[in-house]
Amino acid sequence: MTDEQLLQDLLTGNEKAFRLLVNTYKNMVFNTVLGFIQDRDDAEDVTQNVFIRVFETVSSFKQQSKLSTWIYRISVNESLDFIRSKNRKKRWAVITSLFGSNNELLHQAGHNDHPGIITENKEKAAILFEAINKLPDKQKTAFLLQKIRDCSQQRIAEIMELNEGAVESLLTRAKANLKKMLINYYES
Amino acid sequence: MKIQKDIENLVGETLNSLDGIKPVEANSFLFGKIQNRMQMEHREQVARIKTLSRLSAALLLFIGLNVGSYYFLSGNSPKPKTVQKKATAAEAFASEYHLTGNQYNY
Repeated sequence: MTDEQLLQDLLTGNEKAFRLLVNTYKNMVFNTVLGFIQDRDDAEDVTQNVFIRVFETVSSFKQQSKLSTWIYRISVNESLDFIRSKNRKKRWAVITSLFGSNNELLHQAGHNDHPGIITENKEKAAILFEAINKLPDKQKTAFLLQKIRDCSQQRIAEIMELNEGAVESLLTRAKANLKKMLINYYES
Repeated sequence: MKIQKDIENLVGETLNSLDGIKPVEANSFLFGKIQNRMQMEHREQVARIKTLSRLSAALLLFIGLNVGSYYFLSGNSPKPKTVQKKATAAEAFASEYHLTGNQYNY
């Protein structure tokens, strides 16, 4: 089934088409989200959000890009929204804890335990994820799409709605910033 | 110098630690979970709309009763006697000192 046929069926609310869409793109979405969030349970929740959003907004998809590009875009936005909301909750928990509320669970540092990383790299990958999480959103997105999803610069440019030059610049800055943060980490 | 080189090696290794990352399989029951969630959200939305409409109706009823009672009570309520008394006393005073007319006999 082509993307156009799938979209036509989705617009009529066809359940089979939605099932096909989920089964076709679930691994792509899940792995993208997992790159941003690094927690299996949270990534699963966000993956569900992505597909619900796709189903609800399919009528607004103008087909100016590929369906997969549009789904990538939603995955990135949902992941960044989730991280922002989690950070807000953490800040709020810090404030409330000053007044004696019990928010110990929220204070626990996020464990960057990506299940796809080979065992020997786990420790270093956790340090790298800590640094990646401190990058600005655009640099983080470009870097993760390249590293985790193995996307080309052209593909990243399509997903982020930028030109290739801008993506190249984002990747260069992301790598330079990460290098700086890692040097500081290992020197301290 | 050696330490600096070690740090550079560590940084390089850390930056490459995501190489060879394996794709992770998504939950095989994902579609079912999404369906359940959508149904639950739909039910919650319906419940929210029902609650909101009930609250709106109650608020409208409350406002209606208040406005109705205000007009009903203000229309039927007797005029305060004290005002009448004052008016009567003023009239009595005016008539006693011949202040009611606008003709004067000097």
